[in-house]
Amino acid sequence: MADLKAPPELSGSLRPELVVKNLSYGYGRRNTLSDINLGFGPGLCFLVGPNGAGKSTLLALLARLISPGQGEIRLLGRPLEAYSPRELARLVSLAPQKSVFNLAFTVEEIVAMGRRPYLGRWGVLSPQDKRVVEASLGRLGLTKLAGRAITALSGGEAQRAVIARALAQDTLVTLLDEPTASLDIAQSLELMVLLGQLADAGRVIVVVSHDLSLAAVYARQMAFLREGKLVGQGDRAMVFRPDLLEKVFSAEAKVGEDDFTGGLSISFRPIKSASLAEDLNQNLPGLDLESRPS
Amino acid sequence: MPGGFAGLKKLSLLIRAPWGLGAALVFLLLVIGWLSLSLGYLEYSYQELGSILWAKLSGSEIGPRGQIIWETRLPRMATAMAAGAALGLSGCVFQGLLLNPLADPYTLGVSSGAALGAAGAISLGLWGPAWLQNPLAATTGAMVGAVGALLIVLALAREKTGHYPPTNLILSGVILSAILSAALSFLKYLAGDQVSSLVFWLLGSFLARTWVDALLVGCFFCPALVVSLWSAVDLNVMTLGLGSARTLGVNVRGARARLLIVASLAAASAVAVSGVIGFVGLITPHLARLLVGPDHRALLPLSALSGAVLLSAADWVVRAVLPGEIPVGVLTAMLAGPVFLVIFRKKARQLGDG
Repeated sequence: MADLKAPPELSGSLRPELVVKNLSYGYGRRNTLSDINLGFGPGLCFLVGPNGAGKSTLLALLARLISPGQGEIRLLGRPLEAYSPRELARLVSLAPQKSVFNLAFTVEEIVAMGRRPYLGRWGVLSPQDKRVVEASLGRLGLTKLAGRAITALSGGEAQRAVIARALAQDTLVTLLDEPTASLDIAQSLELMVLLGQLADAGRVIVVVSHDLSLAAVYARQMAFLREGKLVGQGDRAMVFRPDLLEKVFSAEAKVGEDDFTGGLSISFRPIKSASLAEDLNQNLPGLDLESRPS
Repeated sequence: MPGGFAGLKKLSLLIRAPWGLGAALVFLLLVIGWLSLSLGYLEYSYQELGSILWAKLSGSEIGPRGQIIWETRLPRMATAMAAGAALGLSGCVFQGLLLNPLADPYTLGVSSGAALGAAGAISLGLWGPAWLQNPLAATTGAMVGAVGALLIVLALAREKTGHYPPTNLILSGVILSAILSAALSFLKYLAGDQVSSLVFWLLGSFLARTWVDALLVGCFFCPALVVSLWSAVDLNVMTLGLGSARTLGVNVRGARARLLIVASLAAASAVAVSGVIGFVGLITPHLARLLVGPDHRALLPLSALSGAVLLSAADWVVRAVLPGEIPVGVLTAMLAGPVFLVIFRKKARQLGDG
């Protein structure tokens, strides 16, 4: 069992492996991301923000699924565009949030596709590739499901298979979009421990998540996005401040030390807005907001 | 007999492996080939068939009965097999590429394009100059129509980002097919009294096919098989979605363009020589997938083989078993249509659950 307590110090290195410079991206007139400057070093980084903040867009840009409108992304000092598809796939893996499976490949075959960037034209797995696939299956508790058709799995099982595929890619950078969305509490914690181990081994792990309580315990680095802008970045203690959380999530926040997890505990409540209540009272006569339990 | 039982079990295991299945299908293809050569209006024993083929290959005279085999039945059989293989292969490529179990040359408008092109050439031949009354004119028209339809569908389906979302491709294909069918109806109307030659071509048939037809399909099928096998692993990865394929290092744009081009040309050549034969390209990949699973390294050749078996068997049935000579396209549509409905219903239910 790994140490569940995250180290207190900032683990971002001085020369981050993945650097985002003056990055903007937009559909039409509106910018979904504007002027993002961010560096990702070895460690577990959480990318957090309300819906529509541009988190998934940033992840897609980091995986080179889309190209930036302005600015650039550098990986190990080279611009992302300079890599061939195969080179990039050996350095960056992505576990998307939602995957659609059209054909009944087995879980093992799906995970083995993570080895695609290392294989020849005919896709034959070497013993080394097979070991990596087996290890990835084992790490996500899929060994027993290895022979099952992916189309017959539950949402959580399929999500674990996709994460195992990303791990089988054995990359420096692993990007995960809402990896815990279909997992239960124990599975989410196991995944966080696993990602923490990879981070300790020098991997750059970037997680987009809505789960602030997980981030408050496991993140080494944090980045807050709101409406396409970066509003805070740094280690947990730097960004988990009530004023910043309130600005990002439009809710009143309380942050406390948590002895139980060794991380932080965060709780939210709605902002009491006098003007909003008055407004509602005027527009909805008969509905008395003040006398209702909040 | 425990020994015999174990032997049977071994045999069934062997047949379930891709190589064993391939061998079984090749054997089946040979049986159908032999049946379609020997049975029909005239019947041949296998000794006579053997001596005719041997005489032809060693350059001696083969006589009128031999001519029927060499000039009529053999090219017809070869054309049916090649067209079936081409349709099975292209259907398999389209289904994998478009992430759609209902995709086939028809869904992309390739077949309608080919049909209109061929019908246009035939109609021109009815009134135009003599050199247009060449059978190759219809073939050329079909190829041009198929490629033209594919280009139009791709242009319609393209998004600003350079992506071709599967739903866009299918919708564009369906819309274009509807327009092309209307144009085809107009041609039929114009053809007036001579509409029957057009209609018969459109129904799909291997009547009076020559070696040129078989060769034409072969010339497009073989490169398509090589190229699609070359990209089989990429095709596997692309069934996960284009985004996932890209993060797994597949050059999606190149692989997709390559596969679309060779599969469309193979389908176009099949339509060009046989007319419109429905459902073979749709059903065959599903049958092959039931047999070997979704891995395209085994699926592509087996889908092609199954297509060849199905279409040559169907052609033999309409020629030698059924009375008269109904167009083979009618038979395949009547047999495979219900299968299509079952697939659709199964898919719809799955989507409903999800």
